[in-house]
Amino acid sequence: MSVLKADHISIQFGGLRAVNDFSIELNQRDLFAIIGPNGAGKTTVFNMLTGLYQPTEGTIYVNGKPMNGCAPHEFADAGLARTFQNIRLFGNATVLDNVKMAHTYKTKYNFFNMLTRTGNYHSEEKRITEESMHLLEVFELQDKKDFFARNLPYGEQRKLEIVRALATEPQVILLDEPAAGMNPNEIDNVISLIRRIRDDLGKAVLIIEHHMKMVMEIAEYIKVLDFGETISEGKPEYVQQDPKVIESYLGRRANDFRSK
Amino acid sequence: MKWLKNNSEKVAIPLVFVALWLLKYFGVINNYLLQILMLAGVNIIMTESLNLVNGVTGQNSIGHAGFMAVGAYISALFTDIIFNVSDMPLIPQTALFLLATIIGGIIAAVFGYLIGMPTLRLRGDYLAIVTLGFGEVIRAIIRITPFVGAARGMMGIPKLANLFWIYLFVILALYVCRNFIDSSYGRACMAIRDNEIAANTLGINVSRYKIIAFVTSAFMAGVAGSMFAHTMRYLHPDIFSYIKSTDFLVYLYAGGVGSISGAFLGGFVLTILPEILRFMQEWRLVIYGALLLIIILFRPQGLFGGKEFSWLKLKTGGIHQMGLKDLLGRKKMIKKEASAEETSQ
Repeated sequence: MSVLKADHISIQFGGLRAVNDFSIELNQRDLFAIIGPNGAGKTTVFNMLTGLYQPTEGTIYVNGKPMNGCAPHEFADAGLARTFQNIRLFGNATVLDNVKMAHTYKTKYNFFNMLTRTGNYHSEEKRITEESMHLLEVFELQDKKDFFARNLPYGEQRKLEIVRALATEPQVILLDEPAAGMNPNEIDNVISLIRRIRDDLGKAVLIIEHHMKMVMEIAEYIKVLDFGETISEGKPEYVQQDPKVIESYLGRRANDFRSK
Repeated sequence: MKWLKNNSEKVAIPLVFVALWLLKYFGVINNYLLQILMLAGVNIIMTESLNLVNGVTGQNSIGHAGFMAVGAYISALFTDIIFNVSDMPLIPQTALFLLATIIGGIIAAVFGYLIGMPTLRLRGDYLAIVTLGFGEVIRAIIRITPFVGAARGMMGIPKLANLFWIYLFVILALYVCRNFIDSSYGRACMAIRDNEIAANTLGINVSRYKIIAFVTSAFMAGVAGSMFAHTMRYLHPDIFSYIKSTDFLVYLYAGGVGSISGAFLGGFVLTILPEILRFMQEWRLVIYGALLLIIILFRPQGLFGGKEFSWLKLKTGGIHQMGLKDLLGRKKMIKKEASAEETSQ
């Protein structure tokens, strides 16, 4: 069964059709990428896949469950997590608290237990702290656990956002430009991070990325968007050669115009 | 000894109560001082309640006196009109007073739910306008309700609140706020404050947690209202105008928004300060205003923003824990820290 499936989704903002007839299907341990020039509708697709926008047509399935009309937190419950193009950390909380915050919806004590600190309050709090610390250790952020998230260096903020998304124990993780603004050295780190998420943790990963070298290196399957239309899709080698993709990125050659 | 060091608050709080009782018994605390201390307690509960919404969840409620009015009138209605409590012996009197307080809190919480349900979807300024409007609507309704005295006000409410009950509820308010913040509920609310969209995509049901914070806060405001009614013995709708709401906002922001200790000290100090400044006569409120201005100019996060009493034992990261040492001997503490660092290296 596919963990994430979008079945011919489209979205219309007034007269503008931002995304038209987009379909994708991810199985476990798939690593797909969406590429396309600026304004192609990539982030809009992500926003639909995570419930921030409701598609005007088509249906999204998470773990086989149709998600029409669901709020973003219900998508998260169903097993979906994402990061954002412009980093959205909880800046006034520490690194550890950022990860603990992501445990909220799985916490198993009620309001009364919380107020009186009875029931499984103490055991749950202990579990949350331990699991969060473990996750930070796996991704080598444990030394910075008491830093405010806003004081982390840029690269580590991106990393923390990914770790925080993983704390919700998703089946699919959607990464919106994880390597934006990074130098080649940092990009290599991101590549190995994404590989670990897929190979060691067994998550399905969907990324949006502008950095072609990275996309061609890690993605197994690529979808290319331009003006909301899927203009090409396939394996990296195929997409790389596709004249339509080259055209959307670089424009047509001058003599091609003349011949038409 | 070690137990005492780690649980100093369990000894210190009862001691403070005993000390207050002794001071009152030997007449050091006169009626004037007593009234101020009681009002300070009421204001502390209100400021803590406001802190849950404005500080922890980051929503702007500027009509909190409305919830206080609901609690005050409902509880006074209960003790004064439905059961004429003043003729009863002490024990049923106290029991009914506590019951009235809880009922006042519950009705205020119900109002909080009814207001919160449709409006907490709004953000920022819109919520502020709606809560402001709610405060005024409550006042207008009380004005035209004859059996609570309408515009004349409600007189002859039995004086049932005393220092003990008020500060017991202050301690309870601190306890509730502490437990709230150090739990998944508080963390969810703080996540919403910092970034609502990110919180939502991480599986936090934004409107649910906003409503939980709002209703808890309204309940506390209702309890504070009941304490207020049974301290002042007289209620008038104009007491609960938006000016009253603004007072609590001032206490909160001067004390330190988001900090339990800040709300506590803000409510306490700023209730007492105008009374201390009384010797300045007409200049009193000018100085008061100037002090507030200085606080906000030099410490925009409030006097105790980002700091908490260490005896609250908050586990949330990134807060500066204030112990007795901070207040008494800074030098000693710095020395101690330096030596601790050396040994760890």
